Amino acid sequence: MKANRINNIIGNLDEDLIAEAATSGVDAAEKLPAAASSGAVKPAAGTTAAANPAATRRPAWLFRAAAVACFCLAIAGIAWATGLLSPKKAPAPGDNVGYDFTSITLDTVINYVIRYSPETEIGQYKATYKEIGHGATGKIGGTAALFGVDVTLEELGNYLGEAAFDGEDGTEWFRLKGRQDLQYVISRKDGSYHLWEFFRFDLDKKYPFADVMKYVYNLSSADDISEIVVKPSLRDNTTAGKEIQKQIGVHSITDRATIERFYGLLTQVSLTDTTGIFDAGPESFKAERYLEIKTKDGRTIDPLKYEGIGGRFFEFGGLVYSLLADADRAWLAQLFSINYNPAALQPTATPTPMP
Amino acid sequence: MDDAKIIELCFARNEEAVRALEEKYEGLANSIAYNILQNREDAEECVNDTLNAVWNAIPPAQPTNLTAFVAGVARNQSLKRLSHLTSKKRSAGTLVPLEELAEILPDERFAPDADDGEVSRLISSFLRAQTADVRNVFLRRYYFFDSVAEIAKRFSFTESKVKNLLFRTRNKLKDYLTKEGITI
Repeated sequence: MKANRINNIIGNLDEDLIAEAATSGVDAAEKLPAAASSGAVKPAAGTTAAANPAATRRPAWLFRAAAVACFCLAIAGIAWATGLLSPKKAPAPGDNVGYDFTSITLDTVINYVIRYSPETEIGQYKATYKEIGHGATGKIGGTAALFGVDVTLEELGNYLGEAAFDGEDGTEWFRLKGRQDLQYVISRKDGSYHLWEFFRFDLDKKYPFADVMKYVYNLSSADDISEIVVKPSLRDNTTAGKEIQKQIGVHSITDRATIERFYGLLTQVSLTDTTGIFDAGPESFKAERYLEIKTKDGRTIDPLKYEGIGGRFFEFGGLVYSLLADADRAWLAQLFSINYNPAALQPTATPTPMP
Repeated sequence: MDDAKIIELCFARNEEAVRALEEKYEGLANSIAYNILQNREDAEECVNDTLNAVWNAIPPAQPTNLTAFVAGVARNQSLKRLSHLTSKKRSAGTLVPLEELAEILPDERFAPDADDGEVSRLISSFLRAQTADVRNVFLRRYYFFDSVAEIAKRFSFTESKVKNLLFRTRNKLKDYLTKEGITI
């Protein structure tokens, strides 16, 4: 039997089993103390702690940790029970039942000092960009898709295009070489370079997405779009989630009439608020799709996602666009083959608190 | 830093995530890489590749279990590197743990159509039905490629006990797969 086949079989065992084994034994527990709690595996029928000889060998601190964990579980149980006593509210069209949009919010941005650009003027708006950082090897993640090869900060100097907009404090801003759009820009100050991706216009403007397409993505009509790639949400990467992703699959839309109508929808929506968050449980991610808009000049625009239960587009970072009309939601549900079980949604009574 | 925070920082492309990944998962990735490559320099390079791959994968990936995610990436990176390093000398199949498993998993000659995903699911079910020690020893050997001596030390067993436990588990797994209709 070929080694690759064995590797595939063993490499695809359930994640919780792997996590448990990674933190099993005394040595591993010392190496990964914080991960120890993430590896809970469903116990086998008839297996008890008393029947497990390993339990007698574990150090005392582990029992203290277990006691703390039990206490936390008890608190969580009380909270859960209290939730049961509260009146449940069923999700309605427009509720953010599919995704916790607050998971990465501006508050988080402030807490973790995420590098955002100073506001810069584009059209009538003030635009904010977010920096694309580099990894452990110094290469900037994802730049192979832009430049054909992953580059370092220093190498960004080889990819400067035309001036993008006026900077302050001696910072110069450039488009990418050979591109007219402002989706990505490179900053230069004192000989050092940084790569930035468009994040949003000023929030209080409640700007139409049409202006993002016009000013940032350089899209003026559906004719500028060659293809729309529809992918499953990657939010659930459990074994079961991956299976659902596989079933949903990746689909390409190239039909001109369909692209026309899709483009028309994008021109209708505007940024809206991020209130009324519901956690609909694991079923909801089946209705989410990640979208890639391929342009005729070879660019890929991929921040946009669609949440099929609430019926609206969104982006990471807490950007949620306005609710689509019922007919458009139904059309997209068919176009994206969105299929989920409404009875399996698990709405909570109160919005998810901001982190 | 907990895993949810690290993933959040990855999504925000905040380099603090890289530092947190190194701090928390370098040891895990290194132990897997070294077990497979048996060379400290190769293992160190592989750890760098692993952490970089995790940083590049999130987003769009949003792993629900970061420990398993990092372990999976480290394992794949290490096996890929081993395959590359030894392509002219030997195949990854010469890893002793894989040889031990070869006799109990579907053989391509006799079961070319066996669905590997289904076999993975069955093995997961089988392991869930075992005690924690049995499944963890099994996975430390065949997923993380620990040596028998390392497993014995980790679980405070004798090496003889580890060998016997692995032997019995392999046989039970073979019977289980056969009963489930998997041709060996």
